[in-house]
Parts: sequence; C-alpha cells; structure tokens
Amino acid sequence: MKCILVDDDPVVRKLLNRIVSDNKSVEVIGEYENGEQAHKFITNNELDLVFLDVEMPGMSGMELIDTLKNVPQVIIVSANAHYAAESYNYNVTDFIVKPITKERVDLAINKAHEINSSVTVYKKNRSFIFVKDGTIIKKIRLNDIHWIEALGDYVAINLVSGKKVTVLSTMKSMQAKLPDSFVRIHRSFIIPVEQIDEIEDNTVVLGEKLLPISKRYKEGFMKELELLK
Amino acid sequence: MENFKYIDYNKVLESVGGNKSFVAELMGIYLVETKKELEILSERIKRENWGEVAETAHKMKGQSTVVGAFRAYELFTFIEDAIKSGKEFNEFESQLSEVITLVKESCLECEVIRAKF
Repeated sequence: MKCILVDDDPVVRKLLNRIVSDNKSVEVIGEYENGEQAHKFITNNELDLVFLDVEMPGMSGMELIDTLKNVPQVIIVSANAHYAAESYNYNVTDFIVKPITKERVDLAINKAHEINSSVTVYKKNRSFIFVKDGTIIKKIRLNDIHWIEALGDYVAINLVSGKKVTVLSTMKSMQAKLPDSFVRIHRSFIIPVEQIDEIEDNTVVLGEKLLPISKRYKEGFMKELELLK
Repeated sequence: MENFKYIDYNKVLESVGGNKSFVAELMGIYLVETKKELEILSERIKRENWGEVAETAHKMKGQSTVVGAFRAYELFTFIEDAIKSGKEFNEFESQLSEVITLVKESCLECEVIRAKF
C-alpha cells in the first residue's frame, strides 16, 4: 500500500515516517505539513492510505477528508482523544492517540490491509467486484446492488434480490472502489444512480426503499446527477 | 538502559525498535523545533494572547510525546484545556511556569543523549 503522512510538526513526521517505513507492507511516498499541500498531491496521484493529523494551520485534517473523494483510507494521528468521536463521522479506518508507538501503528496498518483486501475490483471487467464475506469470497455484479449501508466497522451491501452481504470496510474505502455511478447520499448510505426511481426533498426512492439524503451530501449528490449547476 | 529525569528514553527507544542513532536524530530535530516554539510561546504569553498560547501548547504537547517528555505532555494538555474552557490565567499560571522549566530541562537531557549516541 502507498501512503502519505500529513502533520504540521516535523518532529512527529520524522518519528511517524520511521515507524511506518519499518512496516514493509506500506510505502511512504510523501510527507506534507498542511492540508493544502496534501490535497494537491492527493488529487493528482494514486495512493491507498493517509496518516493524518487533525489540528493544523489552515485546512484541518477533517476538512481535508471532506474534500477528498477518492482516498480509500485514512488513519488519524492526534494528540487529542476527543476527536475520536468526531472521526466516526468521517469513516476513518483507525484513530491513533499520540504518543505514537510502533505497536499501535502496525495494528492500524493491519486493519487497513484487511479493509483493502475485503473488496476487490476486477479490472478486466468492471461490472462486478469480489468481496470477502467471512472466509468466503463472493462475486457481486454492480447491477445487482440496491443500496449500501454503513454498519460500524462493516458495510452491508444490500442486493436487489433482497439478500445482504456484509463486508469489513469503511464507506470511504467502499466508495473508492466503486464507479462514479455509485453516489454517497448520507454518512451511512451509498446508492447506485441506476436504482433511483424518485427524489423528493431529502429522500431518495429506490423501489420500495426510502433513504435519507443528508445536508452534508446533498449538494454533491445533486451535482453528480447534474441537477444542480 | 539509561535513566533520565525528564525524558523517558527507554520508551522512546522501544517505540523505534531500539535504534539509538535514530533517537539521537529525532532529538536533534526536537531541539531545533522546541527552541523556536519556546520563543513563540514566550512572546504569546507576554502579549497575553491566550488563544495562541493554547495553539502552541497543542503543538508542543505532540512534540513532547515524541521524545518521551510525558510530564510536559500532561502540563501542556492541562494548559490547552484550561484556556479552551475559558479559565483565567491564574488557574494555569503555575503549570505554564512549570512546563517551561521542564521543557528546558528536557532539552538539556536531549543534548546529553545526542552527545552520547
């Protein structure tokens, strides 16, 4: 996995770089001291993981996450444990409270690997994905997906047939693997545009299923459908 | 294993897999950054700009954990929280004074570590 480190403190970045680099399953491809620099790099490069501080001058860590559509996974590293609750709203992979230890970083990286391998896009035919449901690997056609729902550390892929597949993943990681025709409408829901029947105020109708559109995601959702210029 | 009064050297060493030369390098950066932050902190205290003092305390508490200066970390946390919750200066004045002394002592120990390793 390729990752970058974002923290305004050079002492912290130095330590974090050493600890992360010692874990041979991850490659550090950049270090940034603020959200703006990191944002520029991330929008122009492919990577799998970001280690991110919260309190930085200018753009905060949470603000950076909000602007990034395609970063699959984020591990927050902060001196303030009270951000952990807030980070839940951002579907981060893990939250490390400073002091940073090798043991804790390795644990977080292992979790990122598990999530990364739980959903695989078959690049030769992007009409389906493979997901790990326990010890079984299941193939899911994208056209069969009705809606996707967050369930804590897991994501439930609800199929048109009525069946459900539960996968160890974050919503962010899931969305990064799906095509643009899958849109986030709420912290807890991703939907395929194909399945939309109606949109009424802050509710989207997909057959018999009604799902809420949150304020935070509404504008992006409507723009994605080109209903908002 | 070495024992220092203000720096938990053994813990820092453990966090980087026992790499003494790396710890010495880390402390070198800490010394440079801390010197800068202490000057900024003093300026902000003089101007009684407590919001900015809290910002500096936040930054220095993170740095403190990197070099194992855990008492300094606790004090910076106290100061940051006190300012953010609107406490008066006299309610965190002694902690501010203590942490500045502590950080200076920590820096001296960092210099000893760098010289040794």
